[in-house]
Amino acid sequence: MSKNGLLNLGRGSAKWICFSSVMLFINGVAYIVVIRLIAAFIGLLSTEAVEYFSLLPKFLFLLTAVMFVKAVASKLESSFSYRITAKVKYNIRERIFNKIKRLGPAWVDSSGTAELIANALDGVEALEILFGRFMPQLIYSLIIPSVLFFVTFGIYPAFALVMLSAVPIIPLSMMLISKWAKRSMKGFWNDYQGLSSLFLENLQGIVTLKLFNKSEKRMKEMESKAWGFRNSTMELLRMQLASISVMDTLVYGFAGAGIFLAVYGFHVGIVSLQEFFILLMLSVEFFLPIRKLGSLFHAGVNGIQAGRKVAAFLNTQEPLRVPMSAKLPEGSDIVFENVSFYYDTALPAVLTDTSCRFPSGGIYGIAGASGCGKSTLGRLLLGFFDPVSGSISFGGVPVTDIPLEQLRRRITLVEARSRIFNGTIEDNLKLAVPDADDNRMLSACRAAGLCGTGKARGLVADSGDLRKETGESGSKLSGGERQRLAIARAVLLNPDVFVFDEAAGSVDSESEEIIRDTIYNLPASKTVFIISHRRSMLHGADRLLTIDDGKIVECGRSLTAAGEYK
Amino acid sequence: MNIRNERSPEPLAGRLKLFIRLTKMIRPHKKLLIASVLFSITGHLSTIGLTGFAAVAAAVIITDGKFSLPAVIAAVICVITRGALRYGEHYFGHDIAFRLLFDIRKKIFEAVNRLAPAKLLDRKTGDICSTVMADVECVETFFAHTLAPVIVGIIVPIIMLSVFAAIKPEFALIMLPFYLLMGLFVPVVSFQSSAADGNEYRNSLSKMNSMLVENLQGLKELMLFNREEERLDGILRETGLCNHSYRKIRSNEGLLAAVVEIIMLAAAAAVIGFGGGFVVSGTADIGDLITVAVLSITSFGPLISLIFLSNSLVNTAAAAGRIFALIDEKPVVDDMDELQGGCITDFRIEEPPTAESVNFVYPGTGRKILEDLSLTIKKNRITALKAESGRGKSTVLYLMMRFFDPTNGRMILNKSDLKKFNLDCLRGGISYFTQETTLFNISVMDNIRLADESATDEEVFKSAEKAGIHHYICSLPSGYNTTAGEQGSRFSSGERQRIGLARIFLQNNHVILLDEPVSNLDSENEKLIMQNLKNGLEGRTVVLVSHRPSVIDIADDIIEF
Repeated sequence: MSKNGLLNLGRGSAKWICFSSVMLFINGVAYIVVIRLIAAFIGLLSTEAVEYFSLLPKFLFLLTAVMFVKAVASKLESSFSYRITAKVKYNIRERIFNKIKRLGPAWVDSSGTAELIANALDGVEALEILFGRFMPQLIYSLIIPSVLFFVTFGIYPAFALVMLSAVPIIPLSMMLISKWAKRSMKGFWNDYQGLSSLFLENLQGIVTLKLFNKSEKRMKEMESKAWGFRNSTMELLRMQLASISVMDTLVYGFAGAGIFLAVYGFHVGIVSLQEFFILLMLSVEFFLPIRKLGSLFHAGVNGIQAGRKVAAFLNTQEPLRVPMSAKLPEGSDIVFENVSFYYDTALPAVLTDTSCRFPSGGIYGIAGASGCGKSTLGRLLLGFFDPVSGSISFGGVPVTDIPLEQLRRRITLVEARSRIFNGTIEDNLKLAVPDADDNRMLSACRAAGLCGTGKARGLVADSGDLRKETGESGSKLSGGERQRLAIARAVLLNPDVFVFDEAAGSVDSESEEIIRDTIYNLPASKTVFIISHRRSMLHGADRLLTIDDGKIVECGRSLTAAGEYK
Repeated sequence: MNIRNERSPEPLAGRLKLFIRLTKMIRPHKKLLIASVLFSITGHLSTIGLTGFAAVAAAVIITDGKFSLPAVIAAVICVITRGALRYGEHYFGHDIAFRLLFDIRKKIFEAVNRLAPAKLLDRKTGDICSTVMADVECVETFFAHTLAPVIVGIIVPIIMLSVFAAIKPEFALIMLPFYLLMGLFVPVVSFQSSAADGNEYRNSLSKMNSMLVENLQGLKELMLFNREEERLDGILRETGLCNHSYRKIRSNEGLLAAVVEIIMLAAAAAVIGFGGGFVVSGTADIGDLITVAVLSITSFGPLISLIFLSNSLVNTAAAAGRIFALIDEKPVVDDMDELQGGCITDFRIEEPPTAESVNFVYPGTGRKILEDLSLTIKKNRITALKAESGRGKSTVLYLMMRFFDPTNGRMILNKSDLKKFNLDCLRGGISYFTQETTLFNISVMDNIRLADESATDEEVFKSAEKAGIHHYICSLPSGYNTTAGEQGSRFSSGERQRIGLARIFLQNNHVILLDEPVSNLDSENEKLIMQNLKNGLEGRTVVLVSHRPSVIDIADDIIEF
């Protein structure tokens, strides 16, 4: 991943970065002008017997004018910097999302979303600071010392030379220190995070701790750990602060040297009083932008790291999927023909040259221990992955030839811990069919056992209940209700094929029964795959299959009425 | 994420109270605060002094024509000490922040400890915890980066005013309004304007963030229903909206920066303008003018850092409010302690817990759960409670553990009111096993030993064997030293549950309450655990709540209500 890729992320904001640094520059130059004005005023007062009252209005007028320029520049700078931020945020998010769309659910499945969320939230935030604050300041810090150099060179060349020679030393020492500090800080942050997570863990486990009367003891342990951590932190801090102090002393040392030169120059008469004032005020100004850059340095480094991650994500290889004929399937028979599949050449194959027919309208139970590859069947059917060789056809058309949108309308998947989105129950159902009316939604809920039975009132008893809020991630529903709502959503979609992959895998036993009933009461015309390691879920399936040595095989043993294997 | 910002900003008086209470927390660390503030003040003074003393040196040259050694030496001292002073300021500042973080966490932990488990049953524990974590960090910022700067921002201008007054009293009078403007007026105005806009922005940001997280986490579902495009468009729209409200903040910031520039330059203009007049009229010399010109420009530093604090203050107030609310919250059951008369600490359970015409209404919700319930549990037998879901089977167990007290009626143990028992002792006498076992990120050995610290390794192995997990643990590369991972992530739910069971066996209590013990398990694990339970609990008094017929099967008695 090159620097180019990083800069590429800021595409579109380059103009505003330039404008922003121009404003910083104008502000800096205006400061020099202010200093010169004040110096001139003092100089005139000291040398000539000028008319004070005629001089004062001129002085105040000019000062006000510059003041106005400075204020406007400050204001504009922040609005330009806002534009950078807005652009960066919007652009990068948009690109991340478009990338996700192209990568597809298989990628989401295998990589998880944690990294993605980190990229889209913190990564974008860090980049925003990098482009919005760090870059303009960087450009400004590169330009302004030379301006200051020219201004002071005309007054006192020795001063200007000393100052300029000091300028590169500061950022160099800054980089060295930050490199050194980063190494030791890493350990510190890990410890710090460890302590926070210990606190969090104890809070979350407080009921257990209380039941065993161990909360006091854990608190004491936490205390002593925190104290040990405090001591090592302060140790580290001492070293780190020492290095920062060295840098500070360096900055002030150089400024002090400049000031000393100015006093000396004034004493021996090389510089006039007004020139002395200019040198005095500008000697500090030489290092200010660089110090400010230093305070942003950490943010800058973070931004670069985040940018690398985001750019690396954007460069992830995308699966190629070009529907060949875009034929529509006729019927919904599913046929595996000599299918081989593995996730990675380094991993053992899940399927090797296996063939199997699934005529439509059957309930197929897929059994097997976890890790045997049962879930792969569903993923292949839904086109998350394509077979490495062989073909899977749906209604006579190879799955790879069916446009994904079509495919997902005809085949749907419900997994354990389905996502419910913040909004109403209706919003969640309408994900499947945006224009569904209340009656359709209610009947889907009924089918999924959400409406309650007998006297018990379910989650969705009438159409008013469709407007109930689900809360963030469905937090206002119980785990079983979430799962049943997800099934109602699938029922509403009314596909030809349902794949239930451990759909009752993480719910209480009551919901498990309801879900089981729902699945087995789906219309007989539907093809249903039930992937589960729980025998009770599979009991009643028309055919019981498993994956053995890369082949889809009929379970040798059929189920007895009691749900036990013979 | 929303929870954090739903509360509207408090009235100013209420906020002030919160800050006073927060500030009081610093009392034990007063000395450190004073040290940090002193270092900070001298640090600022040495920054101002560097140019200030140079100006004095020039003034001496003008009046006496001599190179003023004292002034130059003073400037050199400023150069040398600057780094050291900054060191002290940060060192003590961090130390305070650290100690306070520690104090607050301790207070919160104690509060939660007092309130648990009742308060944590209905709310989502994770939510409370993450809110608390964020709040603690926020309050820490107040101590680390707000309190000392405020004190410094008051003291440094006072010192500078006396310096101006020493040169010529009129200069102090000229500077005073500018200091007040910068240190008082601007922060208050900015606080007020940023409170509203900041709130709006934070709400919009948190809304957007949770939307982003939710949709990214639910990406697969969205793709399954071909809805990803429209959802992601929604997020971009929200990003746009969020940017829009951010714009107001940045625009305020820009305005503020401009105002700061204007005030600083106006102060310089006033001092130099009037100073020029004093020079012309002969009441001040040109050296004084140079000095005050320099000081007027350089002395605003500590005040400027105050202005941008106000943004975080709004957050701090809200965070402190939530923390104090938690600390002040009253527990739902009162514990008897040994000082009160009639407290029972040392006892053997002779008679299992019983309910005597108990009514129970969940505090807060008003939901009536139990009505005139009386039940007796037989000693040394396994009793299953059977009722329709929602009728309060688990609640009966809560009442037996005294997570709550009955609204009316009494819970009885050993023929005495349950309220008379010391809570720690009660929980040491009755075990409670739920459908989820919480493991801590420590070794499996220590996790099991939580139930009985004095247990020997052999005793732990034995309980693990009874729970049917011993052989599995031994098969792990690090055996009993395997750490459980965050929230026990190293183990599957079945394994976690069996480790939890090992705890119960190790605790070796006579009365054991089982609340849906195998609800999260598949049938293999379920069968295993039920077998182990039945064998391991022979001769104990067990009360069992479950939905599964296969679990209820192990009961000797069934009570329906």
